[in-house]
Amino acid sequence: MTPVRCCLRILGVLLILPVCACSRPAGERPRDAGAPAVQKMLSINLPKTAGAWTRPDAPRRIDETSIFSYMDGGGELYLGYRFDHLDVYEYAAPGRDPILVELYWMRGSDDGFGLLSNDWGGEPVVLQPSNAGDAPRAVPASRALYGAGLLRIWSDTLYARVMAARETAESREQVMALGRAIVAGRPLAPRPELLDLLPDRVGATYSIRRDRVWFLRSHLVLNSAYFLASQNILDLSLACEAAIAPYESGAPPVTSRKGTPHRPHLLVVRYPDAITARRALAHFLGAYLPETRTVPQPDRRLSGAQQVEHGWVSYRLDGALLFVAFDTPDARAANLLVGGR
Amino acid sequence: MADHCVTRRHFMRGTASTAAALGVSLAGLDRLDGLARQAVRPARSAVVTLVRDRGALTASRSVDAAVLSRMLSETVMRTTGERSARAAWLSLVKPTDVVGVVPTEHLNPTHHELFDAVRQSLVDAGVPPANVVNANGGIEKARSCTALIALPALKAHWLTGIGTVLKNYILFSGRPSRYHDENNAGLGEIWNLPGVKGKTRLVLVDALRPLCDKGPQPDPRYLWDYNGLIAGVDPVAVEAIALQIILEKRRQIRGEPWPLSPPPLCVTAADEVYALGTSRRNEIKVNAVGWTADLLIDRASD
Repeated sequence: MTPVRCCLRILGVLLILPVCACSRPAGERPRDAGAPAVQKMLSINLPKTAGAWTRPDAPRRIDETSIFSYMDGGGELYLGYRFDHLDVYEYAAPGRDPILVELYWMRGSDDGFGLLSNDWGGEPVVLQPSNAGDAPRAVPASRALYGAGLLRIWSDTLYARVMAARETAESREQVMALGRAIVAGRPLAPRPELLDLLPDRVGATYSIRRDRVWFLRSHLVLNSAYFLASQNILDLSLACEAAIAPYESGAPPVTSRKGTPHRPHLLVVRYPDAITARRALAHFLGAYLPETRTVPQPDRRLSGAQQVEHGWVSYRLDGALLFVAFDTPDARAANLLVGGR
Repeated sequence: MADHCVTRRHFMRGTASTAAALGVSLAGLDRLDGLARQAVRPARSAVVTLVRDRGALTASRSVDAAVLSRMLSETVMRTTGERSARAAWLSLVKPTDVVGVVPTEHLNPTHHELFDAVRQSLVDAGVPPANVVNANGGIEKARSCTALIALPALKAHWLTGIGTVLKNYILFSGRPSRYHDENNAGLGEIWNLPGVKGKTRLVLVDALRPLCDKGPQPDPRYLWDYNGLIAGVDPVAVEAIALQIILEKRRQIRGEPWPLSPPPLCVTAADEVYALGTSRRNEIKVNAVGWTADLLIDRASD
């Protein structure tokens, strides 16, 4: 074993040991909290016709074994959430381009939300009345977004895409009608609780970019939102919940060598338990901040900040919760973002 | 595990593509930086042809085949310096070649009208119809050809950042998933596989209606009418210009830099690691003709 690997293993053990005596540290969720939701509604009786368009009797059913045949490597996105299956309908009409309906059935409402959060762009669309408890948390209030013929919908455990191959006034009307049919009678699920851990404002300077918040579980999705590393150095998995958001301030952002500006980002991950979280932090420190092993940390590296090529990186472990801030311009901002002092 | 991990820190240092392709760890960054400073890459130069015509797509976004045919002839003549389309094609391939044309089929497929126009041009130049084949597929397709024409459509990609020229041959590898995410830096190695290396006579990018966001499924908000063909014999130079167009369009949409994530490491790696051509803008001359609105290319160094 090389000296570096040896140090990292020792670090990992040091980080894990103290938590073994704990019962349920802060942030840890009950064991069943992240489990697949009850299979409540896994089908929808879509209308046979939508204006001039007619659908086939049965959908094309796609599962995790066939998703790559359906959409090439793009299937990784859906498998990066808790995917159950996909139903595809193609509505056809004489002399008109088709309307494609894709119903992604997920195992939890957070997963459907996560897919919508990949892109908050487009025109917000209200397909069903909201209720008093529909607090938007740190994200836009939209549950459906439309643009250029494509309607994207989050409805409880369902994420849907309804797309007219050619946008016309007529196709738009039918896309919206199908959207209303999809959500009719379905519950308005709450947004992921984890979003509450992304503060709207940090100090007097930083405010969240609500329209850039992603909810995710996989490192591939994280890399699509914010490139961190080619490997899964935060040990993300379908058992984790994570959210990442950029923050803005009037201060000049840090820049890459090529001069591209990079805003501060706050990532929060909730692991299944505190032990898993500590292991993940050890992994992250070894892979991303190897310098930290040479810096004495009185609190056993449960929190810290390190200057790197692009500003400062800071982290704070709180039970099963890990906060990491990237691209911050100074140590103070780095500590503020992760909730430290 | 971290020994072969490429991180944001590599990327910010500007060593990510090399590190990704070579499997250099973060701990080895300083050594890599030192090597990079010492390395003297031979100067290269490349010409990329860009032909645009506002009439290439109709109001209903159908391809105008006649306009496209003229654009194609103009493109190959400017790329080769020949005075006729026939002479241009014959400077690229021989009538005895088996020519594999490699379109892309997923996400933002190559327009079939362009594939048909290329095929017809080759036949008009004297290549027997049976010797012009669609070579998209496994390595056996490439092996059966004596010449290749890369015919991708311009698009960003969810797993590789950009999914245009260098990714065009990914099926030749037999293991496409091996090149996803930051492993996209290795895409250049496919162009050096036995059966592929040295066969590409022309890189011709369908930029009629590019896709500037990554998918994984097409979002029509990110498709736009660029009405262009981009061509050259240096795949890296063509990819570099394609990437510039994508990034500039993304900047235009958001009004601020909107980098691709994961970063398209394959472009620099194809230059610095696989020596397939140049990715440096100051070594690339863009020969642009036709419609000039929203060109999305910095012409300062041309």
